[in-house]
Amino acid sequence: MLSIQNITKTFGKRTALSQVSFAFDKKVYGLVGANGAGKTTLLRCILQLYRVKDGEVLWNGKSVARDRSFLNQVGYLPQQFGLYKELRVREALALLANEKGVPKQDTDERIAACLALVHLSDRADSKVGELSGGMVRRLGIAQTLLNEPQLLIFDEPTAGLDPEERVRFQNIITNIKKDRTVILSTHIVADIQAVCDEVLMLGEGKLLFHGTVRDMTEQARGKVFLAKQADMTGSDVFIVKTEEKDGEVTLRYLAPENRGGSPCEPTTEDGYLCIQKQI
Amino acid sequence: MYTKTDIAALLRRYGLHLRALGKHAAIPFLAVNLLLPVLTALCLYKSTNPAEDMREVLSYLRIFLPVCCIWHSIMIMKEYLLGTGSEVLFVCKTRSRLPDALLPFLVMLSNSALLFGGISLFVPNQSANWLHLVGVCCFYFGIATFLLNASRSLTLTLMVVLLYTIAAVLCGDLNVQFFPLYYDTMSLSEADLRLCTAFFFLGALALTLLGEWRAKRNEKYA
Repeated sequence: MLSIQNITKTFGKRTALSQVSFAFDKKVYGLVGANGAGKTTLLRCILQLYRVKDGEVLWNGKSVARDRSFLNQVGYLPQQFGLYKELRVREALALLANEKGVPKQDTDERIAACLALVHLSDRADSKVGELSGGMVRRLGIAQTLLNEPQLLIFDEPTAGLDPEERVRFQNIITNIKKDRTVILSTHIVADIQAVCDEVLMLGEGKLLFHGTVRDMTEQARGKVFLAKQADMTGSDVFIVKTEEKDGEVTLRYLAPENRGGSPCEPTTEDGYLCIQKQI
Repeated sequence: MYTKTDIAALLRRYGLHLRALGKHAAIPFLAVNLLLPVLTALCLYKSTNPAEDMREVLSYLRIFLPVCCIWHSIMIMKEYLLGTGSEVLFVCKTRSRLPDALLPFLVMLSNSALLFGGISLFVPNQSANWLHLVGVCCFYFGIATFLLNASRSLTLTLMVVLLYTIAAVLCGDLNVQFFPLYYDTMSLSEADLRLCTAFFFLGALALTLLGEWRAKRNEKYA
């Protein structure tokens, strides 16, 4: 199992992560937070892409800094992925399988299985450079599975994808998550709701929240209101949505107390914003 | 230590890396196996003084061969360091990039040896010059790997390689042509040529190791 203990990471004078600790289980975790919150930094610290001087990353109780075999258990998809554009899909996966130490006799079988899982079998002989953005992302997911890892890490895997591709991605995660720890860094609330068992929220390098999606939604219970702009009082509100109809402006806002409106059922996004804005 | 399996995997990777370079992977091979032999043949054809004409041959070999030898290495390392999503490669079991860069260099060097072997059939006693040229090629490899690891900039690396080559050619008229200059060494004594050659090999080793150290010393990936 993966465990992170008191991870602090600084770049010069800037503290990107501050005393972040968590123990992961075999579940799908959504890692959320504003831009610059430290999500990618945390993932890179786990993957040893960044040197961790303060704190520890443990895999099955052993520090990963001293256990090179840890990376054999990991599949990683970075934010941007587009290697080997001149190679055919099958060749690119063969090269990546080679890099990951997959035995030669198992390579073809693993490639076929991974392509089938991401529905790219019919494009196995296409060049990577000829694939659409969504297909390249699916290829990226396929390469994470080549070495049959126990830990999967995806950094904003659905950014820039159309709704159909996002749904396809969600279905893939549902198919591959069994007996694995999956960490998904994302801004997209719909992805969290669809696939994540638990959510970790970072803010300014600190762990602000961890719990289920439902727990995150409940953080906004009693704090979401709908009101006409004219009826609003007080300024300590966060406006989530503004609607105008027939010249009348209606606001959906978050506030610790009612500021002249009617309470609403909170959404996951409301919960996210309440935690981020400390409402 | 590299096992038989590791070497087989390295060779397979080499083949796929060359395919990944696309059409321009063929350029160094064409240069070494077609362009340079044709130029050499033209220089030596009906030569009345092959030893003297060898000076002409060596002058352009000293420009083309080092660059041809390191071209694939640079392009393969570029993918590791600058490719879109290359973090994936740093999270793989195979961690050291140096063997993947070294193999293409050795292949091109061996290919160049065939050319030089052919030349030696017509102009014997060139072993000292050949060894010196191998040293220069190794030095180029050291420069390229050091700069790529330290700067992570393909532009900077190619610029330095180009400027170094130009500087060496422009300084070719100087009476002293000692390390790191290399363009016209015919004026050197045999002892100085040997010393110079040793410096090129040592320089290559130092730069390569410095590049590896620099890569590890920086943030591992960023």
